Amino acid sequence: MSTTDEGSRQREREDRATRGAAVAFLVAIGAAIGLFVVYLSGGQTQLEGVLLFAAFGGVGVGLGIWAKVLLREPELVEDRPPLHSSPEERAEFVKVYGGATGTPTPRRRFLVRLLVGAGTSLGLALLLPFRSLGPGPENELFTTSWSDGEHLVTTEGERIRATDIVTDQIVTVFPESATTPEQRADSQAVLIGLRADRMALPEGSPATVENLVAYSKICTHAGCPVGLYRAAVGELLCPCHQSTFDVNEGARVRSGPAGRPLPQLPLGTDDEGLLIALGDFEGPVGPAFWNMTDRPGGDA
Amino acid sequence: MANAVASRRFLRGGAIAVGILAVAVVLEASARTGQQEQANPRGQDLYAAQCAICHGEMGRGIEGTGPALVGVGAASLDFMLRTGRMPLPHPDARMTHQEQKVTDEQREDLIAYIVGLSDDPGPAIPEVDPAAGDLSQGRELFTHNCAACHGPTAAGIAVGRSDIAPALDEGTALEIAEAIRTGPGVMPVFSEDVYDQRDLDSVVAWVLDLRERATPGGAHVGRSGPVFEGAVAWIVGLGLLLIVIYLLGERTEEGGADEHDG
Amino acid sequence: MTSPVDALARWFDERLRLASPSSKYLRKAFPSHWTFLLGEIAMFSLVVLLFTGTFLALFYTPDSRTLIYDGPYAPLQGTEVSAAFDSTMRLSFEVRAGLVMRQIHHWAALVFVGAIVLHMLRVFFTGAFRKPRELNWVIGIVLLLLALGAGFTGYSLPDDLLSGTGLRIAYSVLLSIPLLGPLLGFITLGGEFPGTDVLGRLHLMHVLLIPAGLVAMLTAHLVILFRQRHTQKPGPGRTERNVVGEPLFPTQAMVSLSLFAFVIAVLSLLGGLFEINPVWLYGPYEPFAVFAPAQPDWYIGWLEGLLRLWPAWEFTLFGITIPEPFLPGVVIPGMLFTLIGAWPWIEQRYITKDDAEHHLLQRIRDVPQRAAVGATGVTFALVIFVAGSNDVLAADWGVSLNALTNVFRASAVFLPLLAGLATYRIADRLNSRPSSPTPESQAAPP
Repeated sequence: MSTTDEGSRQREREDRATRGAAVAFLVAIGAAIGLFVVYLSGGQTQLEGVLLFAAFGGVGVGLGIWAKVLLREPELVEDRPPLHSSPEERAEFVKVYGGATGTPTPRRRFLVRLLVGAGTSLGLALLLPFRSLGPGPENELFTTSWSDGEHLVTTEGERIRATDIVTDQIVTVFPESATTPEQRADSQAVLIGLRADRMALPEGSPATVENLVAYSKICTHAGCPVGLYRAAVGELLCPCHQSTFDVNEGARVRSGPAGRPLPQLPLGTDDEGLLIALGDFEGPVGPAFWNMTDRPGGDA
Repeated sequence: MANAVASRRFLRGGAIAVGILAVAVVLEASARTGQQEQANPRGQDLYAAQCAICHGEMGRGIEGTGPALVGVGAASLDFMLRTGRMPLPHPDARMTHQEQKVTDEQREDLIAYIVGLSDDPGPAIPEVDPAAGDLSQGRELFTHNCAACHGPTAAGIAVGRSDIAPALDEGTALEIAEAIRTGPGVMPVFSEDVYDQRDLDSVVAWVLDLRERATPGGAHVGRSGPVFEGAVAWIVGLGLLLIVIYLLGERTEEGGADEHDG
Repeated sequence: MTSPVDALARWFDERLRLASPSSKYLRKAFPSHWTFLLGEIAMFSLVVLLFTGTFLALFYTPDSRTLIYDGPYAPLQGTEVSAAFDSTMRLSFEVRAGLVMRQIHHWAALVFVGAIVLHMLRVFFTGAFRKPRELNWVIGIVLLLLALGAGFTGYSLPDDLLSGTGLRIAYSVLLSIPLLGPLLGFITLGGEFPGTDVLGRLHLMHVLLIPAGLVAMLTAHLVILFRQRHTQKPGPGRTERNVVGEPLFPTQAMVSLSLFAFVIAVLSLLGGLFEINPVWLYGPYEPFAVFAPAQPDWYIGWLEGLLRLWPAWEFTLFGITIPEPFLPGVVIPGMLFTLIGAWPWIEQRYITKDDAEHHLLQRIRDVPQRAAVGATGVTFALVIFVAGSNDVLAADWGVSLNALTNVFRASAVFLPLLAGLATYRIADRLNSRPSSPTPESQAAPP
């Protein structure tokens, strides 16, 4: 009696499962048709996603029910032979291999060594074309497009008067001659109107114009533009890894992982009162590199 | 004899002149305060009640507590009052955007009084007309000048120490314009000489547009960005798939012999 | 009367002699514990990536020359953007089903790496990397590294402000390598940052070199798995010398097919309902612009956290400047991945001294030192990962950014040690309890 009960319960289970899987597949078909409708009427991202979910979800549910309930495969138990070859297999291999080539002779060893030499040197030579992928750094990391007499311009290319900048103001500036992204990338600077009573630039800092100071905008940690400025506390913050720089004290590092201050740009004015640079930054801009302390050709 | 008479007359004349001068000065001074009192008696009272405790008498400021308000300009005052940042409950409280704490009339009185305290009225309340701005230009200006602190979706972010640049989802066009021109809190200033009226209108237009612009990709969680995307990938994506494999795979090691029968 | 399937089978059999291998392999036993399906989630995510990626590649162009955007997204009209960015915008706003495909692709990448990590953790904590599976463990690490590379190169392709910032950081980390750094940086980019060749090179890596590597390594991974047969959890009737499981055909095949469908389903749901990488809000990359919060995709978040937490130690050795990012950006990750890759040998040589073949999985506690090292590693990874979002957290919790960063610094040192010690203690204590030992733990060395 228990087996027929079992049997009928099992059949019921399977019937329910079959119905469930059938519904799932029907949902999938419906959703696929829905996809046609949505696509042909112009498409809509959310609907596309939901319908794909329903379509593939239906197939997944159907297959899952089928696999877990309807397939009544018995569990398999197989042998797991050890993974190493048997002694006989090894002996066979030695016989075959040994027979074909015999024992290594001095002549063979000599030739193999030369072949290895050839392979190694050729292999290294084949790496040479990779050197063609780009130029060497040379002086690039030490200089930017700034030079004595260059006018400061805004992102839109407009020249700036010293009187345009009020206290607590910050503007991103470039040399007027820098027009391409490459030229702007390393010459980018921030021009700041400091609070005069807080200015405390270190000895020997490059020139400022009254309370106006300009620093390189490239963070000396990993090169992101130092774009956040808290004027009331005189602190520039880099959003990437939170290095902070004190603009009143020569952009020295107050906190964060940067290893050196932002280089300062010497400022002056021309006879019309427009802001100009008096030379390049006081040091290499951006993140450090291994030979940055050798400045070839002296300062800008 | 004539000298003594002459010097007495001179002295008398001098005393009268000094007296007239003194009276004139006193009259002048009282006329000025009288002017204040007549024009802004409410403003002065309001100031004394709500502001003087941190910003000092006559807006001179108190070191370490409240900055001087003399000459700070109507724009800054209007911004602080409209956005409920001022009056601040205590000097260390964080300034956040809230309901205006004074009435419109009180705000105007306070502004009139404080502006009147100095000869230089400071930056006036700016004009702003978002409709006159260029949306594209505004997006570009915002990206270059504002997104660093306020985020590409203007959702705000921590900007160092305890300072947090707020989200810009509240605030009227005027309030945003005032903030740009005056640099409240730790925010820098963006003056008219570098960013003209059209630039201002454009940026404000963009900030307002951000609130309404649809997100074609679907729901965006929080600030948007990889942090939240990662959270969704793990919680929703891997969460659902973990449930799926839990249901699809075997759960016990009791051997499957009983589960499937030939 | 032959069915079409029979006819087809016969056609192939007459050309490939399939009957014998079919009966041998199609009935292979596959242990079917649910945690064994984690790797399959990764595999099926990869398939989705390849398909959606092919579609995207038909529209994307890795061209950094600029043009003026004039598509339907109003806020960008009139803005100068690169052709690459423009093609991404076109794909998102003008190609029908373009946005959903793009989003599914990106969600699939996030889930792909997540599944690999979960799978790796399962393999690690159950000791499945022991002999004879050391090679597959190393192949798995290579797969993980390739996946990270695919993700990074992929999300840099749209040339948007967020991913461009990440590229700049990667370039700076490259620059920080002593002696070779600047040369490597210039060679990779074709000049000083930003360079004009970089998008093309990223594109080649992303659509050809890395996927080829992934497919080749995955094939090797699966072939080795097949040959060695899958491990199994200990239990009644299961020994080191047998395999107990479901037949490949039809059961496992159907389960896998079902999982495949579910992976597509879940990724599609994400791709349709949740916005990801809205590059139109970030705008095109410009080297002087940036925004906060600036984070990479989650699987690079650990590196981001390391760079945020590492102190400002920049020094000179014999006249050579060692830039600050060198240690957290190059040396530490290199050491970590080497340690992870070499773990099967480290454990075998110094901890268990067990070089026998193993096919039964262990419980987490069975090798307390391994569990402890794993807990230490996972905790460290979690702390530096969370630290990568320190500005987001500081804003959400209203706490000082600087204070939070310092808390993370301390946590990165102490929490992993604590976790390791605690795990060791717990595992030890569980082991010394008189519970019924598994056949595996009886066989395991003391």
